[in-house]
Amino acid sequence: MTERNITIVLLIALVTGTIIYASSVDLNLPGNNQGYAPEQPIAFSHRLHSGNLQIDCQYCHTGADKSRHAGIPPASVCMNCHRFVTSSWDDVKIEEQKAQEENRDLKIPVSEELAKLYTAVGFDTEKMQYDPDKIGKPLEWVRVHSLPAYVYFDHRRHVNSDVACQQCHGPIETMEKVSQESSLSMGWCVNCHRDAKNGILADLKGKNPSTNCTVCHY
Amino acid sequence: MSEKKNKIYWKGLEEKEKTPEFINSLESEFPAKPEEIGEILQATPGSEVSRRSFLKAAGFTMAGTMFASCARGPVEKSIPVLVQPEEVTPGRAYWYATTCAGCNAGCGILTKNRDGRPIKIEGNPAHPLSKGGVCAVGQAMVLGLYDSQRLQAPLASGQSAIWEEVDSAINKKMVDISDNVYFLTGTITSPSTRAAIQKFLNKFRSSKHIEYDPVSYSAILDAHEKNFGRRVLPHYKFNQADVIVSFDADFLGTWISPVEFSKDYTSGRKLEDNTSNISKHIHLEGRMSITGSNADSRSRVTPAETGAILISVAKKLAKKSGLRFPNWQISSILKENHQKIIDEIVDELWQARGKSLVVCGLNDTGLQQAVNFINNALDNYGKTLDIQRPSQQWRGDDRQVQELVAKMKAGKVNALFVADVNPAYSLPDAEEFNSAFKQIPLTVSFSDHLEETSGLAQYILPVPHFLESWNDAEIASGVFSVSQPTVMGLGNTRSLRQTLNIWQGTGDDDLENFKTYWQESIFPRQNKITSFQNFWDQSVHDGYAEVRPKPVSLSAFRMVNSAPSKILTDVAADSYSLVLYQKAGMLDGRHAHNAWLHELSDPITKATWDNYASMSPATAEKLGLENGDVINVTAEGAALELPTHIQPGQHDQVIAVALGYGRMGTERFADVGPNWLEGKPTIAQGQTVGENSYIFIAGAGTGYQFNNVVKIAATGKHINLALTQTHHTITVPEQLGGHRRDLVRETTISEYQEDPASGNHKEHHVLQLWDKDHKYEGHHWAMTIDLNSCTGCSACVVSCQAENNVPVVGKDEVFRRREMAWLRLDRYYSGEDENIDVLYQPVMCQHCDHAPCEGVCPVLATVHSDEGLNQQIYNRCVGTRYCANNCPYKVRRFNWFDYYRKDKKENLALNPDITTRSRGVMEKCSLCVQRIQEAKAEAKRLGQPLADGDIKVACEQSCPADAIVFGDMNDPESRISKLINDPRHYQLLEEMNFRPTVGYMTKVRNRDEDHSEDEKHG
Repeated sequence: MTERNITIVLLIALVTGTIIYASSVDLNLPGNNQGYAPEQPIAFSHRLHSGNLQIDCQYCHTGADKSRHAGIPPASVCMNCHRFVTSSWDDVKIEEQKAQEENRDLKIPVSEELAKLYTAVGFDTEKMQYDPDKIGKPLEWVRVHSLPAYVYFDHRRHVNSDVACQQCHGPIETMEKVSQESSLSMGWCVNCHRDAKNGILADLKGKNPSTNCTVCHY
Repeated sequence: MSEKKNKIYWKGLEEKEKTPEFINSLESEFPAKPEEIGEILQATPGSEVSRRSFLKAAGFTMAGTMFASCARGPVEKSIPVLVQPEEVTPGRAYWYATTCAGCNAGCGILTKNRDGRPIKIEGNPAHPLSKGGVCAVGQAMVLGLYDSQRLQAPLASGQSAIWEEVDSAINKKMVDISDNVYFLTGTITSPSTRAAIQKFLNKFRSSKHIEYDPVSYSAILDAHEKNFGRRVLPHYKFNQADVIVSFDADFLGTWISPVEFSKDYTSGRKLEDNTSNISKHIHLEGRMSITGSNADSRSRVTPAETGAILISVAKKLAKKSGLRFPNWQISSILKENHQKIIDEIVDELWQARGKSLVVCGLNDTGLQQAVNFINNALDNYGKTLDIQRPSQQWRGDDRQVQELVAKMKAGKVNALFVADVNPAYSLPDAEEFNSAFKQIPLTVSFSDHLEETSGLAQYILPVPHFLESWNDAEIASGVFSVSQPTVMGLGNTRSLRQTLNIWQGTGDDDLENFKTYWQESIFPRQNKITSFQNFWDQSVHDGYAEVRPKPVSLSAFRMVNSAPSKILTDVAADSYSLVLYQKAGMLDGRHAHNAWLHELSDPITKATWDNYASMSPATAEKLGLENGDVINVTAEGAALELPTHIQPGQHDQVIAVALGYGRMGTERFADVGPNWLEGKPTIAQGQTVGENSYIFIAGAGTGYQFNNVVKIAATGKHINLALTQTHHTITVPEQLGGHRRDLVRETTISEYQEDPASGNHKEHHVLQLWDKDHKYEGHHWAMTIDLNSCTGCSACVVSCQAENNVPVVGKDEVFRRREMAWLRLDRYYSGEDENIDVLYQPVMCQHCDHAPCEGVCPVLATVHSDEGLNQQIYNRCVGTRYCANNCPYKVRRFNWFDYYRKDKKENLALNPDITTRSRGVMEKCSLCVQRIQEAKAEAKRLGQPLADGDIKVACEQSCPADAIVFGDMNDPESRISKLINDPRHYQLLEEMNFRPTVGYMTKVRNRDEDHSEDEKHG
């Protein structure tokens, strides 16, 4: 085959490949993961905890105001409540009814998702106490919002400047499964810094975020 | 006013003589020219690729890559701990106060920890002795922690074993042994460990704990025993002395406690205003040391002459003070020109009675007695040196070591335990020691590496790194430094104290035993804090504790007539006087596994990765030797082949060789640095870095003398020395006039008092390209470096390396001028032969407000921030290297390779706050912008404004001389603003109008002659 033929074959392959690929998945610019909503090891619902139950974001993400990383909460934080809450209220009522019908003692209902948490921390739901012999492995959450290694984003500066979590993370309190709302591209960051500086963002009036390169890159 | 003369500064002889190679090297920023791509393509036979097909291939590759990268990246996991430790927030650094064990000085340090591991060592400003300073070695200790060749488990006869087995095997052997058990250790500053050793040895008849320092201070201790009845090492106080006379004691470099001494010395030489008086420092030495290079008056003399001058000074002062000095014969050694030196010293000292200090670095009891005599005659005891609260940092006793070796040879040692010392390497008669060592029924080594001595021992019990264990150190009487573990043990190791406690059945909980010792022995020595728990918490928190010193009963001063030994024999004309010394990085060789310290340019010689025989230019010329010519150095019973290094300012009859090289295990550095087509190994396969010069130590039967008489002969061989001295030389090209103002500036104290701006040159008539400058409305970061304080110790260089993830490149890359240090320490000479003056100048990115690098970057990867920082954006850089070409200060470093580390464990020492740069990217000093950002974020979090001094950049923090100040020059009250307005302040190439924000302060020497230049220019 001549070089000319190879070129033609490659060109056709590239063009068809692009068309097929682009029509099957939503194509982003390289590095842009907007809309990414991976399955998590536990189907944790921000809608329930943050929306319905109104738990403060920083109750779990304790690093947000004092560290660069907001942090994924350690399992022990979940256990603060879930030592006592083992399933939904509906399940409790169903179990109550069943127990009455079958004329037996109440069994503690444990939801399927929470069972994974109890396995990790070694919590015996029958006795409702920790079993030190059964401590499992930490939960492997899938990271949704990820910046390249050369970007040094600091949660602390944003939280302490009264930037709402939703500004970047979107309406997290409505999300059943967390999805990346914003593009997290550099242009998106800089636009917000610029708008805040120029007073365009009403809730960030008087803030003066820098647009120096070394704010993020060093 | 005295006569003015022009001083010419040069960094190396090639610069002074303007050799063609040197002139050539100035022309291009990057010396090695890459091969043309066409040449490479044509070099492959049969591959005639046309330009068209090359571009096509490139195009497809790029399109394919783009296509592939539009897909999702790999799934990243975020795994939180199950239960988070209290006070630990991921991403936030936390600090532990502990004690450096890089040498015996016991400086207080703070370790910066991230996610359970230490990543940086800084000085503890509250520490009573080191006062916030750390040396280059201390800075490098964090790399030593992550050394993958540290032993992880015990070895029994070379086989990996478990602790229980080893314990029972040793106990079984000990059952039959009832006497002649010896512990041979370095000076153990830890009282709790000493107590444990003593308790262990008490069970055996005629057993002894012998302390041995490879580079010994034994003579100072012995002399005090003779003169005062107690074997003590004085605690020197250089800040109390107006006149300091050092007879070959490198107290700013390596002698006893260099960080503490540098702090004290420079604090006595700070210039607050032009009425300040500074201390006067007179120095005598044969080689060129860090301390000598800082002296106001330096005389080059051989070791024998040093001793003779010392004794004449003592005799003259005896006359003046009416005391009696023994009649030691020295006249044959003294030369005519020495009389002037003697008179100067005697005059200066006599005038500063009670405010002077004489120190001597020669390990000879007779000479040290003379030093004691002088300090006593001058009434310095209790003022500039303290023997009531003596130093406990070095206690080695040479004679006991020699007695032990004799006993070993006679087969009278039943068990020998070696800890924290490596006699099979560092004893001059190591071979005798080794063969005797092998005959001992039980030999146990407490060591962290498989090294010369531990390799011979039947059992090696690995000890933890000091950052992994509890420990204490009594560094001066009553001053305790406390060590706490900063990381979980990386291996299955046990401290010496823990092992001894286990053997004695006192429990294996090291912390419990350690606390008990403190409760019983140290807590009662103070009455400020009444509860032990509070005292303990306070001490661990602070990293030190001060308690009542144990009283020392001294007898009245008396001289013991024991004349100095053979050190006082003059050297024959065809022989040379050998001076063995420690390098500031390598010390006595204990850190030979540390690549940072090998690659650190020696402050004086600017050599990396080697030791060598230094000689004066005149001697080299006489013998027809050039840098790198291998010579054979022979003494009685010892010979070594070493490359020549020509050292200006050295005595013509002195050969200087560094100790601490040729260590077993340094073979590992053969493949350090990038592996590529033209790359050559740092050392040949199977060879060590440098040669072991301990074999030249003389003084069998008395004490170890670090001098000898040698003969030298050329071998005709040649090896290149990796010298960095003329790398990155700042020059002004011919087309711009070829003329530059002095980069280093100096004056004398009398001139300075008359005119604080003397020696400086401020008014420049510069043209402005832009009529308006950028406004810096918020902060405007700036830095000044006081050349009057800088001693050249190079702590800043390693501190920067640790903070900013600067890679090690290896010897071959150093030859190519590709060392990566962001902060280099330029060392300038001026003068001739006898009168060589030295100036040090740390140079990093000058953060010019009119930065020449910024305009030439085609992709805006280097731009200015509105706070005056010259920013380098790695992810934007495409590697054109235009910026480095256009940088007049030559501070930009290019990543020719991915300097990855084969040793993955070492990557734990990387600072997670800094990008690790990849191949093809330019980098340079960022003024520690990560620290600026961190301080700003913290200020915001706490709702407080940023205060002056909140941000301490890495080089500034650990400077033992407090020479570096960083701050905001927009704040008129800041330290930096005051320094910038000081008449001593100047900038490099100020006349070129680059407007650097890094500035320097002139050096002020305490001498009468005058050096300032006064040239008019336009």
